[in-house]
Amino acid sequence: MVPLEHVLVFSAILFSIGLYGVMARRSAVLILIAIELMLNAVAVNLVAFAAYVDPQQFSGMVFAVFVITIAAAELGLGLAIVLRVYRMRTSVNVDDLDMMRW
Amino acid sequence: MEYAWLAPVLCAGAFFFNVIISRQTPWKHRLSALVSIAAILGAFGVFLVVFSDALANLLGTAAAHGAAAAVDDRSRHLLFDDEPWFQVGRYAFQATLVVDWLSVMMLGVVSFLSALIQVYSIGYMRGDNRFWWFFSVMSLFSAAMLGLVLAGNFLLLYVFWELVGLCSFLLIGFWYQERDNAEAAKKAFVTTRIGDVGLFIGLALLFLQTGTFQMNEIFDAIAAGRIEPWVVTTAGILVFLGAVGKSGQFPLHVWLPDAMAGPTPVSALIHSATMVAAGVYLVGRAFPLFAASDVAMGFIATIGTITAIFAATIALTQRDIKKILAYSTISQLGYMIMALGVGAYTAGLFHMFTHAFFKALLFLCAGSVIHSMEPVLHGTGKSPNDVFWMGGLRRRMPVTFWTFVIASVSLAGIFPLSGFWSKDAILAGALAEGAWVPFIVGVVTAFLTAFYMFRAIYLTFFGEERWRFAAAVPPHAGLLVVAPTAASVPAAAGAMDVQTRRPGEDVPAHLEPEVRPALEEHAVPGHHAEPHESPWVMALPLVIIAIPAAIAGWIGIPGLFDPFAEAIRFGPAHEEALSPVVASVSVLVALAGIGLATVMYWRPIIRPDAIADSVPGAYRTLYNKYYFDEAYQWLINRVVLALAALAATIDRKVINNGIVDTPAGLTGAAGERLRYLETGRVYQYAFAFIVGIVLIGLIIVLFP
Amino acid sequence: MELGAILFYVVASATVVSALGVVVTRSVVYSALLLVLSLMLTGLVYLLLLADFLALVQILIYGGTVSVLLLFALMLTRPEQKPVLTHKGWPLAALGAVVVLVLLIYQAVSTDWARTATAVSAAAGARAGAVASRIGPGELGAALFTTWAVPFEIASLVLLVALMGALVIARASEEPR
Repeated sequence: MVPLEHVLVFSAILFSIGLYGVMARRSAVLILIAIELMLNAVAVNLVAFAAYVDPQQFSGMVFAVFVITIAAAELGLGLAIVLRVYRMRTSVNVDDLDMMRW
Repeated sequence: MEYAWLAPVLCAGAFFFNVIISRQTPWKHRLSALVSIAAILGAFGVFLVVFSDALANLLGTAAAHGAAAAVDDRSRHLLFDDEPWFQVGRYAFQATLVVDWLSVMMLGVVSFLSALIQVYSIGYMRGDNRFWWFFSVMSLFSAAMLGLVLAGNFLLLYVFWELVGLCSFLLIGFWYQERDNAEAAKKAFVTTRIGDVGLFIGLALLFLQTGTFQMNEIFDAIAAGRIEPWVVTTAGILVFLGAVGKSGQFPLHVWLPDAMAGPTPVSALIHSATMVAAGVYLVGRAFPLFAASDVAMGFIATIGTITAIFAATIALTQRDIKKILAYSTISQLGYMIMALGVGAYTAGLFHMFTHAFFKALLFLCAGSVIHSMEPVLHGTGKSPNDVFWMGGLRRRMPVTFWTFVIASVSLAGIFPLSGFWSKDAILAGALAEGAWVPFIVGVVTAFLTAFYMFRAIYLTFFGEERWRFAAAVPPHAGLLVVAPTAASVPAAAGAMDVQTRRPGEDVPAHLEPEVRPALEEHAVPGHHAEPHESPWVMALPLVIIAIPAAIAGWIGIPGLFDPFAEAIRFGPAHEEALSPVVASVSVLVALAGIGLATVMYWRPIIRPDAIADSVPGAYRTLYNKYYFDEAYQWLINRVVLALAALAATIDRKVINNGIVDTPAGLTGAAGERLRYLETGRVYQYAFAFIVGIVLIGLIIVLFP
Repeated sequence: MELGAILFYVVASATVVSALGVVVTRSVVYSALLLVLSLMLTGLVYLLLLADFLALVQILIYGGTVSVLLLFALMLTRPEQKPVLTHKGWPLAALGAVVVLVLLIYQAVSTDWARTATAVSAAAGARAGAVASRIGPGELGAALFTTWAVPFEIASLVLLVALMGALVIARASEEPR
């Protein structure tokens, strides 16, 4: 198997890409997609730790299950909100959604 | 003796029963009166048991050890001495009760008078719509007063001390619907509070020195010289300030005359016999503290002496019968304080004992008179307390009259009534201690006392029935020096606008044509009330109290039968024989006072207005009570309010604007600028978030 | 180099490339599809990391549900004109992401994972240096329904609530636009 560090680097790259997406994208749907990437990177990390560091209890895998669960819930809710916003503003552009500023 | 605590607890129980249960019932007035009186009678029963115990104790040990055995050791019992009341840090406080002859005596006086006065109140307060509340507070007062006299711990004493003050406040302002009464209650509360602050600081000082509030431990420490002399002096004077406030001593006396705004039974119980005597009691109770400091004793004697004569002179000119009695009370309290101050311990407390009865009786008689005058003077704008509108009540109210005379003669100190013995003891004590000024002041005060009491008697019970034409004199008809007569009234009033007059046979013939129509026109229909004797529920207590008022002093006849001096004394008992010189001097000056009052107010050989006219300044000064209220008002307006304004300015400008508003303004301004950071752009938030994470990560990496 | 390692590097590279595509493409649909691809590839990585069941779950949920959900959402929120999908400030975002990446890689490389593994095994009371074994659905299921039963139930509740919340929020509203 590959060294643990390589898996971690892989997950770090995925995470950073997701981070870039969250900050650089304007569409709410794309931001949600980028967040999925980040969550996914975290799940990879957890699975890697389960396999390399804690093979007896594999708690990391259980956590990965939970991460996937939460990610699904988050995506569902997020998209529902996006739909609602779109219906109110005909836009999913987060730049237009600045009602909650000063 | 172990059951002494029951007395205050019974009354407190009555109070709580009344305010919680009785008021909910449809017969709340009857029930609360019943419960209160039953409780105070129970307290009196407790007193009888304790008294017989103490007596048996005294006789038993006296037989065993001879009369010379130390009375303090065998008659003082401390209850709840060891059990902690509460604990703060390393200090434990005990709710100690002390049962000795002093507290047993007070127990008897308070429960006896309170019981009779509450019975009397049934008649006096009849028809008042807060009848039940009156009895509830009377019960609370009785509880507090009984607790006060039993307290063997200064902290406990202070609690009861404030509680009686509270009851006094509630009862002075009982008819608070009238603004004057509410003001009087407030004045009483605030003025006594000035003294109470002194008391509290004094007690705190003693606590700092000894670490305890237990009286006996503090006194032991003083006796053993464990407290520095200057502290004893300071604490003594401060503690005495409490007595000054409570007992209406100069210069904090101003609240007591105003306190007469309360119902008369309240004046009789609280403001003459018991609560105001609490100051004297405190001086007696804490006597070892004062006795250890010559300066404090001198201070006490000076204040008492000034008060005795000062209040007596004011009483000479007052028109309100209750105010005459109030100033008399102040004067007599000064007498007692003076006696204690010169070291005549037994005499001072003896006078407190006898005074309680006859002064309470005087007030109850005054209440009886006022009660019967009220319907008579109703609608005339005249106060029913004003002796100038009484007169001739002797035959109409014989019971009141005779009891009033007995009490007055007793107060004046005529042999052989009880006032004679106590007053004589004070004068003899002052003389024995070589205190000449108090002695002379005492003699002069005795003269003044006899004079003003008989002035009150003559104006109230003798002479013309002036209430018949009270309505004929318009209000504020100038300063009346002598009581108006039938002949003088229409002449004085005729020149002025006649407002309301009662049809009267006393209108002189030459004024008849012009006065008569006005009289007919303004006569109040069906208004023909005349003074009458009070109902038996009021008259009976008068008669009962008249007995101790006359003979209570007989337990202190020097040289013959003097258990009082044996039981209540400070240091070794010294039996003093009756001094014929002192006794005759005091009786003679009292008789002189009575005689002067007779020739001025009954058989007008000397006209009072002539005297007043010859010294108008002096008369006005006395009539206006030495302008003390005005001086205090000036002081409050000019000094207190100025200081308050200064404090308010500092509060507003420095504290509010500076310390409070400045940081608030800074926060607001900062928020006003920083709010634009909230752009509402999610990605900017995300970026800020990342910057934070990076910073934390760098910190972790760089400083592992 | 063994087969597993080679496979890992190939799959990982593909995942990274498709993930980059997700965040840079100018079409939202491509972005969504690339995301699905990227996630399915991650599922393969799970397989290589001995997590069979998880790989299955990943492919089922993301390949099945999430892709459908995303495509529906995109379909329902179609803007009138072709939008600009990326901010003008994207270089700053890229810089931030790179810095974070550097930090993460530094931490991942500099940590002594072998010691951590020993410590974890010691804490778990197991012998150190245990050989990793394949975790199948049976083992994971047993763990989920014994040790992790309560969190598992809570997670199911969260899902239920999220489902209802999504329904309530996304339901066609009566108020005027």
